Amino acid sequence: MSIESPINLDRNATYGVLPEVSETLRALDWGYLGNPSSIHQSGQRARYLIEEARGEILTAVGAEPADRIIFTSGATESNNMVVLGAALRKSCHIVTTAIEHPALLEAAKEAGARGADVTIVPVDKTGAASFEQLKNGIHSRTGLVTLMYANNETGALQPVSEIGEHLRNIGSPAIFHSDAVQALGKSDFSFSKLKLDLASISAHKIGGLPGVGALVAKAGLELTPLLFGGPQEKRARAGTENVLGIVSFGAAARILNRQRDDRIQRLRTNREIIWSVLRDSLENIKPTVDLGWTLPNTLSLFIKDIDSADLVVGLDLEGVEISSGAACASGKPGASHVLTGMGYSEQEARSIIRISVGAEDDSSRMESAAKTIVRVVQRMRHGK
Amino acid sequence: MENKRIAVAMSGGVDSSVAAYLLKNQGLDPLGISMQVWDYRNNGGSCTRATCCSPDDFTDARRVAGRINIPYYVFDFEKTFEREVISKFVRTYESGQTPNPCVDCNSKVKFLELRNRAKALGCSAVATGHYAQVKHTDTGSHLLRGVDSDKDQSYFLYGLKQSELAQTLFPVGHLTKPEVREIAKEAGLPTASKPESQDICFVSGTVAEFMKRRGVPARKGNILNKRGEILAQHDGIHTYTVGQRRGLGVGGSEQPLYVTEIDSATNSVVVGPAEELERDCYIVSQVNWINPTLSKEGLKTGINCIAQMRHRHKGVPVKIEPIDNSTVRVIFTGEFATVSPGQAAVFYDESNTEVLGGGKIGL
Repeated sequence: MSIESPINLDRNATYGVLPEVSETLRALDWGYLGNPSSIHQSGQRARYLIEEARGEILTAVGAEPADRIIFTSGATESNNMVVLGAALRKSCHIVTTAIEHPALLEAAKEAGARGADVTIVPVDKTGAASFEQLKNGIHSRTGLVTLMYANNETGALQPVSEIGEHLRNIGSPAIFHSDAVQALGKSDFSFSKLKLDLASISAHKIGGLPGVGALVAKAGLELTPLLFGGPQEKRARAGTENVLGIVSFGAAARILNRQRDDRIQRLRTNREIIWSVLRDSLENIKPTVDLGWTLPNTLSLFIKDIDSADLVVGLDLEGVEISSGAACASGKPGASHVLTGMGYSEQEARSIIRISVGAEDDSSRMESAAKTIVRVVQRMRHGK
Repeated sequence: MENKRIAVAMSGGVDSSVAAYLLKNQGLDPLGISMQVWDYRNNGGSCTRATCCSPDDFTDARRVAGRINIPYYVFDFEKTFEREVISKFVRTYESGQTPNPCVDCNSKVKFLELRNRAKALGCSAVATGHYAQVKHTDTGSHLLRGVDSDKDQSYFLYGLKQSELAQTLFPVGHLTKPEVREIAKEAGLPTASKPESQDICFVSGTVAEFMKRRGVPARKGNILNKRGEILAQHDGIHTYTVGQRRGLGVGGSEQPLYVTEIDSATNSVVVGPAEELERDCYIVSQVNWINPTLSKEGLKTGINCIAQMRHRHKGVPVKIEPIDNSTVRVIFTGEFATVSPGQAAVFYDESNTEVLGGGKIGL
């Protein structure tokens, strides 16, 4: 491929391993790392690294010291653990939304197939699930309410805080979970302030390696394991820990703990640079959601007369990486459930792209990427 | 060539893999494209057998692209493929004819829509792994048979327009299949020893099963002779092709019997001895003249050439007389050959190497 260093505007798919994280991993002497469950010193070293990472992550999500971080293979497993765990309880009613990530939504469908009563609340054209509809979906027998913090495709923030307050007001016994995968590092997400019982997070969305995630759990909450085997993670998740992945997760969390607010500001600035160039240079382009109510790095755009799949490829060949919706949805054609849920027709949804910026790029790279987008869009429109 | 970016249609087979590899070695800038033409999961299609364009084949194409370090993308062509290839395939069988979906796929999908997409991506040409050759000259582009006569696929490509052919490359057309496999092996391409795909890519199982899934169930009917005497029953006309000899289930005849006619109106199959297949001439419609140097005068007065009526048919000498702009009468001037309505007749020059044009066989 001719382009040396592509500009990654697809950070919501995977953030990219941060240089400091790579350095941390390289500096470790892997030959002397044992099984974290072993008694000897090689085992102890691995255990130490895991617990250090756990501490950083606990801080990064704004949890209390007594709360738990249970390492999993990723947020998909975390979400499955929450939803299928709830389904195992008798006469469980689950409330969720239509724009959850498939890792949650498909698990909820499976829970339904296993006998749980599942209510899926639709979204409106703002891209957020309506507070009223969520409220109406919750009743006295509701056992689990799960609501993502921010949508991965549009960046739209969801009424997590309001729903939490509502649950407390009505004295609901329901467990309150949020898929916070996109929230971490891009918002002031706080597990404690939101008074969540559970949250799912993922390492590769914040600059760690793919293949590792965690379930954040409130102190004392009883968990239903998905996997059975060894006593790891206090019997909540069997299997030898992914030491490499967990170390990368901790290293990325440490960076957030030091620089979070500064990074969020840079995300906001970088998105603004791109949006202002596109807005000023292209006709018939508009955000699908109110940018004042989204993650600071995400720009979901409707571009009239453009096939988003073609644009993604056209830009890739010019060294700019974006996506046409979620990473998982782009491989197989078919409109995104999030966009159609917001009222876009399948045809319209095909003209929607997602730009999600990172904090590391400087403004000149953002400007250069924006100009490339303008050029390729104009070429594609002209070609018709 | 100033613009080195070339789109290579990659099916996941060895031929298109080697095509991409050769272009890369020539210092060009190929990018691989696979066409998602058919939803195998929802149509009972085959994922276990090597066909082409199935998800497994895309995995192979992706590995080849990674191996030779070129970009690779899958594009959705399902709607175009349904409209231009599959629904036509079904309609043709319904009418008692034998369709040729590969011809339609080439002219309406690969070298039209794929080419347009490639153009939008800034590509100067489309390359495929077809065993055919294209010679670009001052007078235009010439379509020639592939060097490997056993594999030659020029028959399926007559439907291209001059403008399309001008931006087309066949990087393996000058090679034989064993040579292609050898190159793939030496280059370590993961598709080097992948088996051939012979069947129609979207039909797994039998045509009858496919038609049934498409809402055209097989209707039992009569197998008759020319005099209208019922000889046997058939399980549906779309399992028969004019000229077919085997599997008729008709016994008691001294001479071998062939399908001579399929009548969709009465849902019957007519059979007879070989001589009843013979005819002096036949009609070809929707003719496309691909050769850039054919004279208008020649086309008006008629031309002598070689006609090939099936894939792997060697071709027989014919004279072509025009009927109107896109219809011709083809008269056998030497040996007779069976014609199956719906199939393509492709005309080659008298040396039987260059494609002049072709069309769809009527009667």
